[in-house]
Amino acid sequence: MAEPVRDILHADVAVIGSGPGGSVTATLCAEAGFDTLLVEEGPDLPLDAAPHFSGEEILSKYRNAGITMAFGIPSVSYVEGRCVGGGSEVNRGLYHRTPHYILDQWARSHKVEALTADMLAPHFDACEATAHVAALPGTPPPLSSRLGEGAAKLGWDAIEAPRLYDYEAGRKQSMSATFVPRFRKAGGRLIADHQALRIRRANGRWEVTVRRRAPDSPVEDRTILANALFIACGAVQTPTLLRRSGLRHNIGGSLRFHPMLKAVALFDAPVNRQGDPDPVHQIKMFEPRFGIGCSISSPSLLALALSANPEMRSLIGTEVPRMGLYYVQNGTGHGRVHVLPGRHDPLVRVRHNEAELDQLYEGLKHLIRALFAAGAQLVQPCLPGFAPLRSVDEIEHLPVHLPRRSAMLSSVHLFASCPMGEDRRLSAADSWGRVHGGDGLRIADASLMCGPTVANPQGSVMAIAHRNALRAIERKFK
Amino acid sequence: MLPDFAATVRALAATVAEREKGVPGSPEAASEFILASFAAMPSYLRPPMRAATLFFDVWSMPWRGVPFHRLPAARRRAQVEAWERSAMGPARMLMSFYVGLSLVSLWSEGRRYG
Repeated sequence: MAEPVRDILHADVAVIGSGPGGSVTATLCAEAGFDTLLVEEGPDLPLDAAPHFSGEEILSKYRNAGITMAFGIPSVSYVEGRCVGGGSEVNRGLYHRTPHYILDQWARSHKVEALTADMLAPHFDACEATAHVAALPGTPPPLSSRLGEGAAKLGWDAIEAPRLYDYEAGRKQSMSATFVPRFRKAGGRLIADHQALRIRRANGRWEVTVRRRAPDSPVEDRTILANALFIACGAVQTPTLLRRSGLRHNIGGSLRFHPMLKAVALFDAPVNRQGDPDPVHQIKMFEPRFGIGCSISSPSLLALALSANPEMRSLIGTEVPRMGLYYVQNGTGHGRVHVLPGRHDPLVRVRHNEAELDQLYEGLKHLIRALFAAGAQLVQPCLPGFAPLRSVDEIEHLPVHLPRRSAMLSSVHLFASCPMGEDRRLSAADSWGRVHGGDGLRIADASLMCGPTVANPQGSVMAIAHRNALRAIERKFK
Repeated sequence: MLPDFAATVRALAATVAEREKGVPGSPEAASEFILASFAAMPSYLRPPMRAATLFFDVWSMPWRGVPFHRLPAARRRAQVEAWERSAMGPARMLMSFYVGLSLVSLWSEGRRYG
């Protein structure tokens, strides 16, 4: 085996991680005239390199091929992007600004300064201008409209969520299609396939040891020397890197999720048509207890959701046009990121608050009510041992509580592992992302949130990164 | 007759493919997908998952004289379904892992749905 090659890369600013937080931060630093190096662990692939939600995409763009788990009762299966653009490449791009009551809550709980909805608004505006946030033009697909109709019949409010999507071009938007090109245009340098192993402060600069792992190439270790450093590896990998580097104060112990339960409806008419735009309806009036929405309902994702429900799964071959997949999510689950000696991958554990789990299960029952009101003939809760329901009255026969040991929750949103705020008893960084006692080290991703955003979090991550990067530049990274 | 991890994965994918109706994908592609996913999964999970898979493979040997991957199709399906119904959580989880990955690949056909 070849000896690893050691090389040194210099930059004014290094940003580790190219997801929404890292890409926005790196773009602003490069445009401010700083020699900026953006480092990504995964490959640099075009947005359209693989069909969205395909096995090929899972293998090429998901961390650990999507096999990542927070262990608990119940466990939470989660997915993260691992490619240039991070999670923005693999999510659906549903978009919301942070609800004002969430920002108010963070100000109270963690003493976060200057983070009101009004103060954050210009940062949302700036990010949305580049990231192409748009409402679906025209009529939503029936799979989506049905949820709205069901809500209306029950007297509930449903909305059509905007997306990071260019509807004129018919193309999803992501960091690799928006901020990363802007970063490169400003002279920024991006290196992909480089995993940050450790950081340290030496001689007044940040030293980052990175390992190049690319297919068909020898492993190479390199050192990055930078005057300023932002960590934006995501809510699991950021605390992993920091803890591995000896930084531990409130790092990795407060990971939060948006765990989901799912249900599949069989409707009285076709709703799931090839080539339809992604569904956008959401029922948000019950938040923060739970929120309801539509999922991508391809045969493979229906089959995965129904993997423990063979009776309903057997209909996929003939009835997929009449089938739709829906979710309910809330903020249950309090996780901890553990670094394992000698292992790159961290161990994530989760414990649940009983009341929050009950709220999620109550949300599943609300979802089932909405689907029957929308004309479903059959609704299958995607839980082991649950039979398909044939009428809304059968909700009464469901178990009173969610079966803790057999239920499997899933999540695509993770945050709050290194929360910000001026209350040092609870926070890992100050209100602007500077790590407490970190000598100017900054965090720029979803780790900084003080809890679940309730809404889809990408907008919050981008806007807070935008706010914090401008502040760091203004203060010359002190 | 020795247990064989890759052969067990191929046999599991074939068993799931046989009992699903109308899948467009092939068991060969499904087993390749599972093996690639296995190679990418967290390093601390691989050894116990491999050991559990090999244990599943040899489970049939005291009764049938051959490992799972050498069983005829009907016997393979019976063993998979027995483990899916098992009172032992780890046995159910192992089947859930392989059945879930197999289904993702077997039902993938490159078409776009809303």
